[in-house]
Amino acid sequence: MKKPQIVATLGLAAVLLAACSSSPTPTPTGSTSGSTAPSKTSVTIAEPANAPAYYIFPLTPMDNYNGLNDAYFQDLIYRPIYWIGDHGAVKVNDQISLADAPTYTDGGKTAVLKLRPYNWSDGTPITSRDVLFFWNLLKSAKENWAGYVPGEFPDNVTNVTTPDAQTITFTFDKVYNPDWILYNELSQLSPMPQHVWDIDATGQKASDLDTTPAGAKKVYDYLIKQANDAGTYATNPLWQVVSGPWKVQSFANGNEVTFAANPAYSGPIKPTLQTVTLKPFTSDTAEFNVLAANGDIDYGYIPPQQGTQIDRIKGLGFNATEATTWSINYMVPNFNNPTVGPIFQQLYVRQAMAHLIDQDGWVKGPLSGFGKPTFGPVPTYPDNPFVDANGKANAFPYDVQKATDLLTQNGWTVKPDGVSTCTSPGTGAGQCGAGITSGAQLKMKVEYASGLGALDKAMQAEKSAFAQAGIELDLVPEPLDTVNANETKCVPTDKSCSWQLVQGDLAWTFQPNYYPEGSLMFGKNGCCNAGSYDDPKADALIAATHTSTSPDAMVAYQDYVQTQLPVIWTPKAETIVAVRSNLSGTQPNDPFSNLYPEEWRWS
Amino acid sequence: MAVFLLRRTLQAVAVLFIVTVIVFALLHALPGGPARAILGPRATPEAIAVFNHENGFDLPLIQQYIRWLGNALHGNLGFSYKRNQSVASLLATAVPRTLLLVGFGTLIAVLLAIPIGLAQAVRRNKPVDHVLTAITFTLYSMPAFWLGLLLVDIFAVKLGWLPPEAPSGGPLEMLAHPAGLVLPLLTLSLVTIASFSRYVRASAVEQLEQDYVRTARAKGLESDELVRKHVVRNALSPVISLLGLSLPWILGGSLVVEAVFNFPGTGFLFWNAAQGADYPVMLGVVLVVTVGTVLGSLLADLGYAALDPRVRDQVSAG
Repeated sequence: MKKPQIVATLGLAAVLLAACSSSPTPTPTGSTSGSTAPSKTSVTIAEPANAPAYYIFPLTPMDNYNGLNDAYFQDLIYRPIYWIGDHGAVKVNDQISLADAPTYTDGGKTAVLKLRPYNWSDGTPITSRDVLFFWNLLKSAKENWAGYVPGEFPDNVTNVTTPDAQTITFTFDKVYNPDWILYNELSQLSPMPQHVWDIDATGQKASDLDTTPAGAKKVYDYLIKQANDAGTYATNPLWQVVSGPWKVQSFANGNEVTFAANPAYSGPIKPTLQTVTLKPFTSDTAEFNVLAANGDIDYGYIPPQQGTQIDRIKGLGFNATEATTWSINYMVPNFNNPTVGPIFQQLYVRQAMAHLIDQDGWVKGPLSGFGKPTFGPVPTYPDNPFVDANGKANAFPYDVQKATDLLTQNGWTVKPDGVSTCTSPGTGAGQCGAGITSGAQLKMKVEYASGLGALDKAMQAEKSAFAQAGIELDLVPEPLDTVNANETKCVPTDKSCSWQLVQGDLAWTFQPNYYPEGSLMFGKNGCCNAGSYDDPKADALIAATHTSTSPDAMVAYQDYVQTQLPVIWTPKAETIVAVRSNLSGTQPNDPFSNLYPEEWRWS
Repeated sequence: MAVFLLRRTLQAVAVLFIVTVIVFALLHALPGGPARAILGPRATPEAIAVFNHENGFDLPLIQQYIRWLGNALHGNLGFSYKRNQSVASLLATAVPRTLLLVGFGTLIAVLLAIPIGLAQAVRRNKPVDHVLTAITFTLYSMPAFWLGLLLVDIFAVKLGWLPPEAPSGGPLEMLAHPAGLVLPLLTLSLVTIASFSRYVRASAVEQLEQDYVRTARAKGLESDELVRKHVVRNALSPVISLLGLSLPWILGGSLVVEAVFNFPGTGFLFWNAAQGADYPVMLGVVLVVTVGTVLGSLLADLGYAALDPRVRDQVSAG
């Protein structure tokens, strides 16, 4: 062997030798791979791809809000007054909420919240002053708050009082539905340690700066500035006073986060694990590689495209379960598109389209069984107290013949595997409807998120199903950002109104506004009513869900919207959670993706 | 030489400037813009307008660029919306890791490619040459992404010999856990070896046909000594240029390798930023990579001049 070859060979051999002589454990975090060590006191959690924890301040600005950041990071440190999500169910978790259920006085206009005896991690009691501190800061910068909806919290509150250290009252401008108040407003309150955070400069002693609007704004700005330095989350003393069972121990390594148990946690379930590490991943593939190699993940997920690999992962000592989220999925039609908008305005067209969505086939095929259908504006799954009997069944089951009939009965000449045309224009019975001219074609462009195998397969199947009723879908896969950017509210004359039908990849999750009413997506002025659906009756029914104390209001709303189809309901993909089988306490999965590592135990 | 150095440095600055202008324009031409990506689908038009105003995205593009360039020259590369940290601090953490990956990957590739290429050239058209050609062509045509997955499947999943991901932590912590570095380094090296060894072979074959080689042989110089003393030096000159020019390609490969092996370097950073329309991070990474590439090219030119007396003479004359 020649000298250069010897050098090269020795070099590579040295690397390989060093590699093989060291433990296959890949990280220096202290967490060991595998799960057999009985003394294990740490857990490594795989964060969803490209969704690393990154923001700590609980009064989260809109540009820093991400539901997963709340679930995987913030909520472990700072506890809201009312915790939504109780062992897989969509309801208030009374056990870990910081206050008793609210009571109402003043004919229902004033909510009275009684705090329970919880402490901050430095031993100081959590009091109504801490809630008032949150409130004062919220009012000082409401437009910047992620949960802000004009006219709602804090706009609809006329007075806040703290009669004693354990009581705080909120008086509203009128009587509201207590469920709506609880799920959409009170649940967003999170006490903040006034005795530490009420400052506007580092090194100050906390005072009552927040009691004036100008002072509150200064404090808010200071805390936002501190929160904008993620590199100091483990070292800045501000973030070391917490109400939750976990504290940030380290925040580094490309946002790898390690929590340490808060020894002073005053909640009912104390952590037995010493540390919890959140591990970020570049991609689903990278995460699945680690899982499949039985690497350094104790709590992870199986990407939908790897759904067929479940048995293999189970064979490595994992339990795999579906996590059903509190969400609905749909295709958004653009009612203002100058070409197809008038067609979408016709209810019978939307009903025909709904009949062409094969929800069962979509779930069983492209989603490998890991998905749930969407039947209406209130999620059917997981079990919840809001969905009514009609919402548990598909009002528009897959039926090409029914779709065809609806079109032919309304003035269209249906051409299966071709393009149907309007042959009876007009607004009378049996005619195509307002704005649809003779010869108009049932041809529409569907933009959807590219790069997702399951969605791509589903859209191809839909194209084929729609074709059977003579509706031609022109599929346009685009990067998700492009889809989101194009899907904007518009008027027909806008250049941006060229989009016709959109299927994103993410279902609408009711979070942080947990109450499943549709003001944001289906209300005329809703922020996210991209298709410009405009139905005064729907608006009235939505408004009633906010104010009526009768459960009938929710029933009336969902029954109407389910069949009026402001959007076309489609199935939602669900996550498959993989957890080491000797890690107990992780089930059932939370509908909001919240984690409860204080309940987890190694066996 | 000093004039040459100055001229090449000025050229490098000009290239850097042009690249940043092009990248800045391209990134801002992407549909959607950062506001929607950051604020999410629930953002109202008012919130988007406020965000754009606060971040200067409502300014004319040229003004945005001048502002960004001014800040960059003062070491301020902006703030990452998605990571909630300054771009400079993110790069300060990620760049050393990528340098480790790219540095070792290239070193291993060069150390193996030179003897492979030389062996092929010396034994041209013999069975060894054919076998090595087949292997290197196979590796050369393999996408790094696919090769990485293949190696993970064999060595991590099926055999369980090596971890499927890179170690986390800084470069020193990574070096303390070399097992996690093997597969990423191997992936990056194998595709690079293939390309380098082809160049070494071609260059060495060319040298072996030169008159000076024939003369040396006629004088009775041993084949090994001839290759070691005369051919290697001359055959490596183009490889040095190739090394400099390959830097963007190697860094591109490292992006893919980092994504596959969850390696927390600049590729990882760029990958996440691209998915979240985190423009300041994308621009920061592009700037760093461009600087690296331009420097690499500059060093390659200097190295070429140092190795080849003809280039030195031209430089001195010109």
